[in-house]
Parts: sequence; C-alpha cells; structure tokens
Amino acid sequence: MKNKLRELRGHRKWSQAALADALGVSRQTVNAIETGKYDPSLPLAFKIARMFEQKIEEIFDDLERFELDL
Amino acid sequence: MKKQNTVESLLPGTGEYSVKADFRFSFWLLISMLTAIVANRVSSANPELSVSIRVLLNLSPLVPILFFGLNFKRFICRLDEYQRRIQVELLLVVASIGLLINAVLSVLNSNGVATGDLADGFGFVEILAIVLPLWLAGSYVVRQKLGSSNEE
Repeated sequence: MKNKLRELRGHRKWSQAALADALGVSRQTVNAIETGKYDPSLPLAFKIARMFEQKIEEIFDDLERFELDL
Repeated sequence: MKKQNTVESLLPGTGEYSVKADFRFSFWLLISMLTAIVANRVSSANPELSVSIRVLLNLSPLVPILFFGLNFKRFICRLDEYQRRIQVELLLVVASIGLLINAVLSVLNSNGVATGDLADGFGFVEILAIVLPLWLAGSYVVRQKLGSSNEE
C-alpha cells in the first residue's frame, strides 16, 4: 500500500523519531510504514490520519481499489 | 502513555542498547540457567538421592523459566504492533529451528550415532544456547532488512 506519510512528515519538518513518539510507536515502525514495508493496523492508521488532520484514504492509497471498483 | 519497549534496547551495537533493560529482560533466564547447571551437578554427583528428589531437582529450572515467560510476555505486549509481529514471526522460526535440531539429534541418538554430551539429548542450557544466538542473529537480520534506516 502506498502512502504519503513521509511527505506529510517532511512538510511539518518532523523527524521519524518525533512522529514515532507522538504516535506511541518505535521509529522503526514509522520507517517501515513510510517505505511501504508495513501496513499499519486500522487504529494506528486512524491515529496517523487524526494527527495530520486528513482522511485515511488521503494518506494511504490502496492500489487494489481499482480492481475492486470493477 | 506508557513507554514502549523496543527490541533494540536488548541488542548491543544498535545505539539504543540499555544494560538495565537487558538485565531486566534476561534476569530470570540467567537464574534458570544457573539453576539448571547446579541441579545437573547435584543430581549427577549424588546418585543415591531418591527419585522424587531427583525429579524435583531436575525440574527446578522450570520455576525461573515461568517467571521469564511472564517477563517475556510483558515485554512483547509492550512492543508496538510492527515489532510485535516481527518478534512473533521470528520466535516461530527460532522455535522451529530448535525443534528441528532436537528432532535430528533424537534420530541420531536412537540410531546410536550421537555420542558424548549429545547422547543424552538436549537440556535447558543446550536449548538456550541454540535459541538465544538464533534469536539475536534473527533480530539483527530483521533490523537490517526492515526499517533500520536512520533517515530523519
């Protein structure tokens, strides 16, 4: 799943560690989400969305949705 | 919010290693290993001991292992969701390798191939000596492969 977490974090000039602290996860987790190696759970995705005041689907892009729309 | 545990606090050389966290994590494991060594020595040095006493002696390392298990569960529960998932998967792999080695040894033993110390199979100390380095190595590999970037 693609996401624009790095972009949003960069826009606010936050470090991975600062974002990780704010979300209550480790820096490795933030890094793994940003690089697409890990898709966060729904509660964590909501937390991220709330933190950046955006909707979940605005941050996380499900690449399979086009197939589902068919 | 409670402070999250990190696997890095147990891995020397990661920059986040904490002797205090490592000691808190490993304390009951060390006690268990010591108990196993002492129980083994006492049991083999005193063959005249009754069966019930020998059973108690040989099972005594299980008590600190139980405490370690509780400690370990608490540690895993306080990892974040990503690290918890990785650790659970890693532990499954490590446990499988441990079982496989034990099974191979058992087959060799039943065919009279394993000799010396291995002829009696694995004890607590031997199992820990296999599982712990595997877990440490696995944690390093996972750290290198997944999310170990220092990018800020």
